[in-house]
Amino acid sequence: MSATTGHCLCGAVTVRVESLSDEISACFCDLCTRWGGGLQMGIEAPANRVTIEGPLKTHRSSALAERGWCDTCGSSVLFRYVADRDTGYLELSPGLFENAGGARLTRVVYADRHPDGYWLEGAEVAQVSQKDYEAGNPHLNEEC
Amino acid sequence: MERKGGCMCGAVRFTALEVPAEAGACHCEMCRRWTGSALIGVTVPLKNVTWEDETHLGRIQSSPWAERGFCTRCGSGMFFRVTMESEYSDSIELPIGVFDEADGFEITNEIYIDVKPDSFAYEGQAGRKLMTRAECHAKFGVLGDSE
Repeated sequence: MSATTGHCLCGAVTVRVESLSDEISACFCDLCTRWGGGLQMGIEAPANRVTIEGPLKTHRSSALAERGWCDTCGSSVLFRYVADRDTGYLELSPGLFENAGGARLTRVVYADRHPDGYWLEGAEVAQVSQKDYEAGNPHLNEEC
Repeated sequence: MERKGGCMCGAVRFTALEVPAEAGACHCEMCRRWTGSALIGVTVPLKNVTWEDETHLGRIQSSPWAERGFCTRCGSGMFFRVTMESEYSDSIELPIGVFDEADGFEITNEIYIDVKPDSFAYEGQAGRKLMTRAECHAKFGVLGDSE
């Protein structure tokens, strides 16, 4: 599969990925809602086929995961699990890529936690509640 | 109404007065790259926002006429503000997700709607005021060409 390239708002962080998924997931957990300004979207990417260059800064947002952004402009770049069962799982921000890398929203997790003022369209989008997500991911003893 | 908010890690906190319930979504390329999807924000008079501690509030002049702020500790996007002297420079745009209580907002407009990726959409678009990129440039033309 051909590589997809992207960059942050200011261009300081560049991303090159092979085999970017064509599916976007959105999350409304409290951390993602704060971090993304209302929700956070991500496209799964194989960590060993991703090259990131530039001033990426990361913050360990929970016991399990960290988030990365451009230290120059603040653009969201990635979310990844760094401990426990899903270590290595990586999501890249759709906004890095032209036309969101051609991916489409297919799943919303913590769907029942979305702020009441807006919601995402699409009957085909799978909705996973906080309860169901945490039931399926019992190692999550706190929000991701 | 008065609303308090802060970034994901809590290093940047603020209080905002007279926060409206009407929010807008911006799909321009810069907002898309910055947030990862779109910027959903409310416009508040600049003088009504008080930052408790600006130690970790980073700023970037993202275009010749506007700046954006973010937490340098956790990366949360905190604001968008027009810096060029104009009718827009007395206000600041705050993403609704950074408020402690993110309920009670309604998206009433979406701008740069014609450049939004077709990857997703906010439900209820038909009932909102929509502006295309060209319409935005016509309206905000005083600010220059960039988004």
